[in-house]
Amino acid sequence: MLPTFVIGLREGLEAALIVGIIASFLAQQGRRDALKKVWLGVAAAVAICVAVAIGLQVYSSDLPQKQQEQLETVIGAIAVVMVSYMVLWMKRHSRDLRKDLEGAAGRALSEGSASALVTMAFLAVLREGFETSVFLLATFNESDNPAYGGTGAALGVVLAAGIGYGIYRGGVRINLSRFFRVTGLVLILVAAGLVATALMTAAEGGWLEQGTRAFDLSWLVRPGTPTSSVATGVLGIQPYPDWTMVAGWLVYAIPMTAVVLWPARRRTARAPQPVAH
Amino acid sequence: MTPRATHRRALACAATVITAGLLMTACGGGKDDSKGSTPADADNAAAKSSTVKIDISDKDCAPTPATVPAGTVKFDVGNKGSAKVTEAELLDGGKILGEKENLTPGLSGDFTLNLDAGKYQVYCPGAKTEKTEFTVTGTAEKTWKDEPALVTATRQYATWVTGEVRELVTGTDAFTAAVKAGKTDDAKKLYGKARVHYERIESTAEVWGDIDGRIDGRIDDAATAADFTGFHRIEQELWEKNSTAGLGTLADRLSADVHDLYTKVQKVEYQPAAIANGATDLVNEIQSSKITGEEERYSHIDLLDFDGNLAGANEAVSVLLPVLKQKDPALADTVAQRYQATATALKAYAATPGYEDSGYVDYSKVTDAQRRVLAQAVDAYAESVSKIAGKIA
Repeated sequence: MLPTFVIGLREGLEAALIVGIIASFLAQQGRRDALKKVWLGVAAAVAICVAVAIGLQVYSSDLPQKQQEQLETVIGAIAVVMVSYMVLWMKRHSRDLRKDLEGAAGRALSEGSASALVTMAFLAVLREGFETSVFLLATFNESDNPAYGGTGAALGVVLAAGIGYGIYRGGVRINLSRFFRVTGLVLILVAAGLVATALMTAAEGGWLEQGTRAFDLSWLVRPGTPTSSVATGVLGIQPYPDWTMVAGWLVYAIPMTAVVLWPARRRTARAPQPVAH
Repeated sequence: MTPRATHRRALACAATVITAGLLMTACGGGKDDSKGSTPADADNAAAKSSTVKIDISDKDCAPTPATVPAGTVKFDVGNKGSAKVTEAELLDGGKILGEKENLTPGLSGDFTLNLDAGKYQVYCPGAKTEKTEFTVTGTAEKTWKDEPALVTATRQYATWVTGEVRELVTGTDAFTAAVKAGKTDDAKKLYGKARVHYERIESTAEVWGDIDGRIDGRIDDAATAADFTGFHRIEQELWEKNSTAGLGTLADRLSADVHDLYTKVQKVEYQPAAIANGATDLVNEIQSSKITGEEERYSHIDLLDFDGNLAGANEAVSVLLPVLKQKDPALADTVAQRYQATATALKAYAATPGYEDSGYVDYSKVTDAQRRVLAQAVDAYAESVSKIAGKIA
């Protein structure tokens, strides 16, 4: 049961994390309308994935691994952009957030950005969703002990969804300023992990040459253990990263960390606030 | 709207478009993929399909078989009990060509690839032995069948052998008819005429050891007296007792065996190397049983057998000669010269009509010194013929 649980958790966490962050971000922004769309988007993505998985099962066909990896790469790249945008947005507004608690409207996201985040949540679920739903079906159908293995996988996915929801609730409870301070660096690690994972899926999708193995992190991310599903699912840490992935991780993480940690410049003149909608 | 907002909206739109496109790839294009490569392969008749089994374990992910011919290869990946290793990939150097992920214990799956000849690796990160070599051999692996000249050679040789065996059947039937009719003198003269055809294709007939034994066995080859049948059994009676008495059954059996041989020989597929080796066998046959005079120890028509073996070897060499001339012109020249030398040495004993109408003198009249001269020529010829197989294959 443990191996299927670990994989269910890992695959689920990647999506749950991004959706949780986006949802809490939108909630903080008071964009309940957009938040509703996020849940709709997630539900739609889950429905599509389940439908596709059942369809593949019925026609006893398989998900094309190459296209799957390519899809994950593209969505992963978009996710990196989105998370980076959120990190920078929060950085820019953290001063205002602290000062001006009621100025929610002033910091409001434009309609376009909100829609983009909704789309992102949809994509995030879609990204791992195909593979996860196929995997779930496989565990129920093919495992030596279907009930046992299938339950493990399902539990993993449910737990992941729970964690995602927890991130959302936790994010909502604290104000955005603190949320940012707490999560700013974590988000960079998440996004850097996404960079590394996207580079890996790009190699698996045949777009990149696989680099030589940089080091063995399997002592840290012991494959098959619940900790590995958290490390890989949340932070994108792979047990056997290659140099391309390490380079991508560093190239992203170092400048972003510098930007986030750099003391905010005192603004001599306040930038004009966008007009409230 | 601020420029940034426009930018954001564009981003959102782009994301939506990309999603739509990818969904089509993942859902629509997805199912075509597994079949996508098949129609193209169907055009290529040479493309083969193979199935390779990979059992992933903590130890390794060795493929079975480790070598397959180029074409469509389906990898059946299964995990019986490794929680640590849950995926297998096929690598071409640093490039991942295909993989199966998330195979927890008890799960299995497959992926199919169209592979060209080359060295690949099966890779399962985390296993004790992570990479195992996997070899794909070429469809275009060159065989003699790709060389039209060699295909022609085998066809020519097959035609010639069939023709010789037809002559053997005709000759043998005439011989056995004479035996059964009690015409001892006729039988003696017909004996050699039939046998020479057998001697020419002896290397082929030896494929069927039992038939060869019944047709051409010698008294010292036979385990019991009853096993001594065929040409030499009849030869013994004809020359030692000058009689055909009681040979009817033996004659019928010989005739039946020769007919049987004719049926069988038509189905033989010759390979160039086998033809060349057959030539070597025939020349060695001259050396081991004709020069010594043991083959025709009652009739002494050994020189006619010599002629038959030599002609058979020469025919085999001749069909291969065009190819041999390309691959090793020097050897082709040597073989031709030594054949001539051997043929000339043999010709010194030709006679018309000769002993028992054989076209040659009685071999028992050939002195040991003369036999040594013949042997030297045959030796030299045999030495050069034995090299042909290695050159043409």
